[in-house]
Amino acid sequence: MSGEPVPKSASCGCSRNNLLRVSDLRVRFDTHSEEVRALDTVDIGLNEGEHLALIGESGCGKTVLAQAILGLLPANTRIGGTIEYRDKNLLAQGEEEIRKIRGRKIALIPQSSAHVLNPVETVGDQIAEVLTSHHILPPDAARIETTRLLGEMGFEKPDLAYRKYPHEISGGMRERALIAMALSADPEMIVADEPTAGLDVMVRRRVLGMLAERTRDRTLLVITHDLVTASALSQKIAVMYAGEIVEAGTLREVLESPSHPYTEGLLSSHPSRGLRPIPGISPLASSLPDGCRFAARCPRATCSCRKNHPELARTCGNHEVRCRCDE
Amino acid sequence: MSEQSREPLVWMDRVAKDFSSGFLAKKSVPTIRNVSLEIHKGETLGLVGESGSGKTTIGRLLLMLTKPTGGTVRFDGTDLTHLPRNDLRRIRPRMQILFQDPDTSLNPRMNIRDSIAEPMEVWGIGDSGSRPGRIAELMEQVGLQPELAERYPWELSGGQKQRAVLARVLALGPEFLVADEPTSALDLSVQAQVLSLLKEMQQAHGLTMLFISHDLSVVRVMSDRIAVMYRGEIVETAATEDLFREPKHPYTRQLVEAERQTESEWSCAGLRS
Repeated sequence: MSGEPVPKSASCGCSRNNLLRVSDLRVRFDTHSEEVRALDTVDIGLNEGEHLALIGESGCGKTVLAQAILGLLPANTRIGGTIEYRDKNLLAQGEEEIRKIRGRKIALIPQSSAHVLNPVETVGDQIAEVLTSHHILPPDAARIETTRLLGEMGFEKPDLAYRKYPHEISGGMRERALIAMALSADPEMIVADEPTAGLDVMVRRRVLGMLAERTRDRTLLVITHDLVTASALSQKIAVMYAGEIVEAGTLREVLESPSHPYTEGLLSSHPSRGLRPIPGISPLASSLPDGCRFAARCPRATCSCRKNHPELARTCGNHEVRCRCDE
Repeated sequence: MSEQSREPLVWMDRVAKDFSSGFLAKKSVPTIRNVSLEIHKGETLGLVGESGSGKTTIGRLLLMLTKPTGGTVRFDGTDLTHLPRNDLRRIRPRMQILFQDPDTSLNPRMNIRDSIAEPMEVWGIGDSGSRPGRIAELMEQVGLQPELAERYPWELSGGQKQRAVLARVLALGPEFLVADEPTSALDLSVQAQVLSLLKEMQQAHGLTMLFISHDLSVVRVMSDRIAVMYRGEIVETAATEDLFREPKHPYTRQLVEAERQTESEWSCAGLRS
């Protein structure tokens, strides 16, 4: 497993016809006392129609990536690198331009359905608002279209569901309403942030099935800590740890022959794979080590791992790993 | 997995719980109907079911945090349902609960040391001379570094907080523990850490446990027997491997089938070892 670090432009399956290409993305937050390094040298390429799952644990920076793509990061953020969507750098666009893309071309299915919907507006009106605010349909037609969408998302009485407030429906229904909302403007690409968090097994299967069906012809970036969700929705997978991508490749490559010790640890943490935990905890984004960020928890770490920060390097095919412990 | 004595430690007989809803015209809503279960000393009973099926209410009823509207709950031979308040209070330290969200289980204005010390102070366990040693011992048992004692909950990760809550629970030396979705707010690798710890602690202290979760794969690794809840009733109880081999109730079959499908999707991706 040797090999020179590959040039950044070639990493993570990037090619010329990427719909979305994230290159060398760095995100920093300045707090009063310290600098938080949320993302470092993140490279992601998504071709049209491709589905990529980004997996990682709380605090690894995966939601920050979603927010960066959609221009939703707060004002105290320092961002480096580029996020190109159809060869247009989103980071260089003004709020006006981003508004035309966000929701219309790239839609977000946000995390925690219980908190993102407006509690004092009906579910239907909130979905219809996407259509009217992007001037896709006039209010009356938006209402009809929303009702149709709700029906498509498995609501048995869509006109009744339209008039419900978020607290009157279950978690699974809210999640489906959010999917309907994301789909309403017929976007090219969807970013789904933990679309199945907090749902029980049966409901999760149903939501995943619908999401898979509705995103078949679209580009999808799904962000999750759940390996089942990742494998149900995507062909490619990128594993994030402490603000960096540590392993990327096809679902098969990564899950069948995980090469980064963190990915291995993550897989064997699963109850059906033996429940063998990784010792220790992730480093804080405000005090990252100089060398490999996983070294402190890694069973294979050497002195050189603790000193030298490894680059993402290609092993075979499109399989890339940020680990040099074999050298 | 220890040898089971004949008399169950925890015992629930035809328990019902109705909640009332409405402001003027009170309407009675049956939540738990005719539930009987028993948990033997040293045993872990898993309780699965969908959201809203009444799993949490069962846990609360066993600990008398909620009073049943019918039926009997017994703990170590004592009928808790008709026990005077003071007597019930004396039994409390012997039965504890671990909640889903460690954030709401810790006082944000207390550091970890004080949080672990609090139950001991309330129950007069040890004295100011012996407590610091006991706290250090508990923290070591649950895998918390000594320097975290001075930290406040917001300075800890989710897994560390759940460990601190567990140390606090163990401080009282309980015999029975209700673990109500103790890891569903945690990440996969942290979940594995907390579940292994819980198993270790259970073996070390001979804990009897009710383990509540909607995740069948988690319940499977934790439990000796599994009870399946559906709409306020226990529809099936069986030894863990029997339940997977031969699920009888249609809802159990659906659950087991969903679990199998998930696993086979994984094995397609080469995930099963």
